[in-house]
Amino acid sequence: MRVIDSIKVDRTDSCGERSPLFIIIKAIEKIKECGEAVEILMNDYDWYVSLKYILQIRGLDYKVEDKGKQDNFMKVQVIKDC
Amino acid sequence: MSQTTQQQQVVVDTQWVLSHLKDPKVRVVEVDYDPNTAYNIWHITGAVLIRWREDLRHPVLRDFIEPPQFEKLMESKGISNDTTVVLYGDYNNWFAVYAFWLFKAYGHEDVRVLNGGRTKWAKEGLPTEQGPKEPSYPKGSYKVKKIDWGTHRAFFWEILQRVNKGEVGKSLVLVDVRSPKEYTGEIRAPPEYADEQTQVGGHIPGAVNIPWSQAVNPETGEFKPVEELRRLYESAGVTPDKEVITYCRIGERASHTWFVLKYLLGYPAVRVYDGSWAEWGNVVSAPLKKGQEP
Repeated sequence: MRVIDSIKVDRTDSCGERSPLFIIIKAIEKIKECGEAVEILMNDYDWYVSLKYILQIRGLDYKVEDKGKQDNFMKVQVIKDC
Repeated sequence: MSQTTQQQQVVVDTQWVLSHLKDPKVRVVEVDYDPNTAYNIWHITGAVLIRWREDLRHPVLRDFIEPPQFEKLMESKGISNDTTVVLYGDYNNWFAVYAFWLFKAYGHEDVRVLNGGRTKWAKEGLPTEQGPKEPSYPKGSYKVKKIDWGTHRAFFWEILQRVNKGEVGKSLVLVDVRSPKEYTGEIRAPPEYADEQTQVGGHIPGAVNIPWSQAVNPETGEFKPVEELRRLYESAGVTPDKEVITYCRIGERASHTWFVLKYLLGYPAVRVYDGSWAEWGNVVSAPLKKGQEP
């Protein structure tokens, strides 16, 4: 497994035209190969649940692995599952 | 009315909503800035959607819809004047509380906020529906009976006048609820929000910086206990004997702090400057300060 990008989205500062979820999805779209992953730090459980639903709705072959916490942010890795 | 009673009347918890999901006198409303990353993904079972930009903003002006449009919107969502409306939404409930402010300005009597909003509902694994399909309810009957902008809204010209008269920090407290970097002028808006950038950065002279997020529990999104909130604001000189005006960049975070001060702490005179930094930071010659000092 190779982490190709890491992003951090903070509910404290996020507002305006671009939703943090949009930013997360854009990062995930960079994954092209099996075993590639994007690491996400986020601090809103809503985004975590929504991310799982989005991947499910789109029927994408990604899995979300929980990696505990870092600096009080939830840490997850989204991995292409194949 | 005691403050505790007032708080009980405007804030509901997840269990209260859960037990009223089928109550015909209660309408649960999700207010989203971006439904595509919120309501359309998941929403509370039976909740209707109000889109902040398309439904509540004026179609032409930088303002809000007028009473006839508000009435029409309410009726289309199955809301009548006597409906208990419970608001929640994306972005930390910001736009739900902004909508609460508008509901109050248009005189809706019983409007409440779901404490913790989507964050808490998701964390507790409570019932949701997926997808954009919105439930339909029998048409409501709605009439805006009074309009009260006076006790809700502050305008640029008034604040400018009071800054020039030296009233800020004395009889008037201006609370800048943006992030410290926005307050100091280090950034004007996060870089990804190109259309919210202003010509200049900084803050209104005399404004104190208390970021909105200090009022909530970061884990659950719920408001902090009243005593903790009281300490937070009073220690910064935001006391109930003064007039208070809150502002941020486009008004949504400001309404969150307005809600805390007015409805959770019971401050008598609190308004939102909804023009906020997106207006102030673009006006030629408007006075401003940079750095950490008010």
